[in-house]
Amino acid sequence: MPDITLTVNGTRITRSVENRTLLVELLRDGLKLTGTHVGCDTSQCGCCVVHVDGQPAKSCTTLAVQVDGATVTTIEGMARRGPAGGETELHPLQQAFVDCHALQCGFCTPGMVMSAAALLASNPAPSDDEIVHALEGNLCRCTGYTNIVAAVRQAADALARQPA
Amino acid sequence: MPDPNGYGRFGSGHAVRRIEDPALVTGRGAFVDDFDLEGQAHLCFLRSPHAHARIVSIDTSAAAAMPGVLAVLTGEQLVDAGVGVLPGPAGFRRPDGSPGTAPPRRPLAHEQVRFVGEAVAAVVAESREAAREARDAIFVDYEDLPAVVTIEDAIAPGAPLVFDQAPGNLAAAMSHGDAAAAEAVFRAAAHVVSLDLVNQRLAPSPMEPRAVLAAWDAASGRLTLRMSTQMPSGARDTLAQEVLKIPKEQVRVVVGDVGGGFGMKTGLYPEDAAVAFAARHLKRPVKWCAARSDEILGAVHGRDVRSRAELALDANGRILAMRIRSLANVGAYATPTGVAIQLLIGPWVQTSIYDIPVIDFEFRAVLTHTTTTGAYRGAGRPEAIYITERLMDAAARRLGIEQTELRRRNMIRPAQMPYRNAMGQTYDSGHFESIMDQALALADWGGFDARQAESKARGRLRGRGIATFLEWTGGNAFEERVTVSVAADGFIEIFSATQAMGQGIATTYAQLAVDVFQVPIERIRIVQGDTDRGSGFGSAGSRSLFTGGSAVRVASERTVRKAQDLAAEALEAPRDDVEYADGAFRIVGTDRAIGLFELAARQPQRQIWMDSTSSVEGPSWPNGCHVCEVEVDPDTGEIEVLGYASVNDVGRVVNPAIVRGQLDGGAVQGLGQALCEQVVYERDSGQLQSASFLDYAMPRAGLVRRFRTEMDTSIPCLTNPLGVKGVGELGTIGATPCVVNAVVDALWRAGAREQALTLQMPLTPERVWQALHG
Amino acid sequence: MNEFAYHRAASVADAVERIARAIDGRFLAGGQSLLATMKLGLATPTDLVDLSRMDGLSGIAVGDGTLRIGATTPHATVAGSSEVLALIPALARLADLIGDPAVRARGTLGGSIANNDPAACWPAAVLGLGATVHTDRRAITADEFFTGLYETALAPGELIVAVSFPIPQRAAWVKFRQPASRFSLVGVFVSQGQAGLRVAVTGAGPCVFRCAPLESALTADWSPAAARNVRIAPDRLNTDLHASASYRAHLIPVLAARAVAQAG
Repeated sequence: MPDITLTVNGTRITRSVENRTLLVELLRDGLKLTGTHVGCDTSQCGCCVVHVDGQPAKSCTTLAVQVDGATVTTIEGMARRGPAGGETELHPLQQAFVDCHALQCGFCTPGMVMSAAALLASNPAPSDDEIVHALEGNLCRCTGYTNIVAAVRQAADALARQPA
Repeated sequence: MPDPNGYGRFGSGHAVRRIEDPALVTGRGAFVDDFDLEGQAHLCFLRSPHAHARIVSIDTSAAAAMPGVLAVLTGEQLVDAGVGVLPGPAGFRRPDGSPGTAPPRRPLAHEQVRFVGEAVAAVVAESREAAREARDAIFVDYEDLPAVVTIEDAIAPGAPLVFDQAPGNLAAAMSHGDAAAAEAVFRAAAHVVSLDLVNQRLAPSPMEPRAVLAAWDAASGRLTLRMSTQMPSGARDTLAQEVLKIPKEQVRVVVGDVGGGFGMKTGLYPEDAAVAFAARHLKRPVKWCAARSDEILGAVHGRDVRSRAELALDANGRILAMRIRSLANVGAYATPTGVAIQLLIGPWVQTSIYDIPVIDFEFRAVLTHTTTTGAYRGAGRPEAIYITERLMDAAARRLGIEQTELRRRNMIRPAQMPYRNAMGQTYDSGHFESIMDQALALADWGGFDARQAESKARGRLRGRGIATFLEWTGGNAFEERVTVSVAADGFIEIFSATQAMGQGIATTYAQLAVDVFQVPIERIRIVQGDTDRGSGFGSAGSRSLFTGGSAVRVASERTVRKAQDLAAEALEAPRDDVEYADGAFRIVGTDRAIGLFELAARQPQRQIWMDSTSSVEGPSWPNGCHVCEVEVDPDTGEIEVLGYASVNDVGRVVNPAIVRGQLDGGAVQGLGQALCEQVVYERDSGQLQSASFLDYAMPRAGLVRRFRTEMDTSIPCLTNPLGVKGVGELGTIGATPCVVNAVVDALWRAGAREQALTLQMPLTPERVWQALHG
Repeated sequence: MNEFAYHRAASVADAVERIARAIDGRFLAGGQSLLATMKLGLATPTDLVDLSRMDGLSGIAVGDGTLRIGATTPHATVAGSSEVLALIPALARLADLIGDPAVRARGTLGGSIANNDPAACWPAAVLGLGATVHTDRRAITADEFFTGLYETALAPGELIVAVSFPIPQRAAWVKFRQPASRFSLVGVFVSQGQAGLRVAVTGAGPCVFRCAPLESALTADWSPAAARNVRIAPDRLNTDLHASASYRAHLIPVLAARAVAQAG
């Protein structure tokens, strides 16, 4: 069983895994980061999307050993901890999802936020078509998607207004 | 106006941001698989690869010997242990008067398997991987038997029987109305319109698959199950009383977050019972998380009805009678819910918003070697309204009467309220014509021709569709118990046995509490999901607001009245001199006051407690008019939804954002049925061909770009104190016929008239292309 | 999934050698096909040889009338490459329509064509442009490479290193998606250039194929109408849950015509 070392949400961790251990299993079982969810078994649903080295990745279709040495960000790493451990500040995407009623049961939400965040990192002013294209790998059964697209638009605007 | 705390912005009528969201949006949800118990073991199921087979033998020896395996359970073992069966449809009747019947539904298959995916054995092991590996080492000797998976094959003379005690594969049947009277009307009518319609089988597919974490406590002898369920009390009762045959006090069901339910998570599943048994048997906590394939194979499916539907109309397009013959495929192990949905609940709304005096309905529940059908968003009402709105659309075309005009001529008028329909259901309120007029304006119905010309210039066929309809809500469970605790620490805790699954109950109930208690919303805590705290029907049939919310309002008011008595004592004033506002009791005309929480602190238990049971008077009848426009690519048959507008009568609205979310989210599920979803069994082998999201086509972002969704709040429900009508299923029910009618319209205008009327769902590109060119 | 031995290859020679030593070894690039297959129990390799950290296997280089794309180049890189967008924009479009962003971030050209899924997109581009597949030991032409259902001309343990695409005069890709999986129900890649006039069709048959009737018609008359008027026989085309062979047969010329219009 190899040891792997990776940075998860800013913290360097070393764990012993099996070669067959999926990244989502390492996150959920190994690190108790249960915000990343498993919703299917054929890599369709996107509930498991995280960032690996800044790129979106389906953690259910990624081996932990493949990301040895990488930087991983999960939904738990999106909000900013306040100064001196004070009030947590939601990422503009998280805030926008709340403002736009872009979540209902919340199960697809972490993957949605991570996919949207990856989009905005590479395309800060996406059109609606581009937002839809970026979310094609994320299924939601509750919302009907229109509020999610609106939330991504709102977050893009908010991020654009933020001082660099 | 008072309200120094500014609480008013968080009361009813406001689009308050949800209190559920901060946790969910930061990945701190509490779904079943997010919990672990010390010493927990993992369970997985071996499922039948055959649609119908005799189990000759099961050899578990190799599996049981594998590393990490704690137990390998089979159906025979559970029968020997005295484990019972889940409820069947005995409450219904077959045509000969004998009780409704289906094969006994057991936690694990016994002697026979009757659908591909039926759970045959369960492996419990130290890890998920060990359980799966051992599962692959179980050897089952099956004797393959002939199977029937379609309704036609199941009812054919000489068809293989799903259950010996159900000849003709008929589980139950019901007739409604007067066949002879209807026949006379049909004979004499100026016009008769008939359609053969298929409402195809669907997989509800909430994004969170089912999961159970069961633990048995040796000291108390109690089983605690953490489940993803909409009905914790029902699950507990069935598990305890029917299956394990232990007092229900020995079972506790707790529920955290549920990742979508849509009706699929309303009853106890065989798998739930197997996990519970395993935990008791092994005396260790046992966790099972369904894989998506487990869900599509083993969780209840929705719909699956074939109907011949007819309207008799006079020369002016007034409907004289409606006749329907429906065959519903309820699967092999039919349940009371699955049968009720098709035989009773759908029929209740079959005549919808139209004044139809004579009906003749025959509904038959047919057994096949497929997965059990059950509740799925709408549960019977989508099937019924689909039939009615396809008939109305066809009738308008056949008679040459404009779509909205035909509906107008037949709509029940407000003056007829309360209106008793031909099924004996009484509608309390509704202004159907007004709703339609508003929707036509919102959708710019009149501007269609110009848009159609523009589509045509781009080589596309445009169509518009309309659905005007109502639905029944409530689950026939109108009573609800709520407990309220106003505590000295400054919080009001309200318990309800309804169950959140994404529909925003906690926020909505908190808003209702703010209305009454007039304190900041942060002071309100809504507690659900614990059968030890209280029992109830749970959440289904869009009842949580009008039934559960009404109970919260009543309980809150009763709490304030009780507190008022206590305040009068504390202030040493007559009760009538004391009034409540903004979180405090005051002696009128003085500044002598005591705060609500201060009052609580003075009570013996440092709380003011209320245990309140109340009822609403009957179901609510939300209704709406949905309009959509589509474009069809004649070269490929692809459909694009260009506009979707709706006006919905949901009575008063507590949180407009949440209500819109229910309507629009529900509509996309309805569009999914119309355009792309279907569960497909291969006819000869009974294999499920659509067993993953690679083949079961789920709606994705971009299916609808924008909804124009309005609520008319001027027609309150008269049978509950909130004046609200259930909203959770309305969008789904309206969307399916709305978009199908739009495609029918596009094809009709393109000259493919007969093909348009005989269109069936899902409207895949090939189907539409065949209709245009075939 | 089954447990397996995992190796990080340091070089092509290292990768090839490790595979040769394994009982049932598979190369691992992005894993978007392979890992999905392993999770379903449909593949049970004893060894995985990870190519992702090797130098020289990823990247896009412009050569003499060719665009050379490294085998482990992710689809997203192709989709966003200024060279690809300038020289063969149809490839960028194809890559951008594969799967979804997460799949595109990891999935690779080499992984896709080595797998040769009958509904995959890249095989249509490779065949449709007359590309050359460069392996650790030889060059294989597109026409020789795709041999059957999930079958290629690769020898056991042979490693794809890069694919070089002749830069066409014009080319286009039109994809009609299977509504659930988003793979190609039918996908058509059309090109005209130094490799001649080529029409490659994926999703419609057991393996990507060149469509001779369309190539003839377009050679005679490069126009959408010429493509549209071709009748394709449904024999030997796929029928499945999502479409019949006759519908696929109908779609091929429709998509080809759209591709010709797009190609200019």
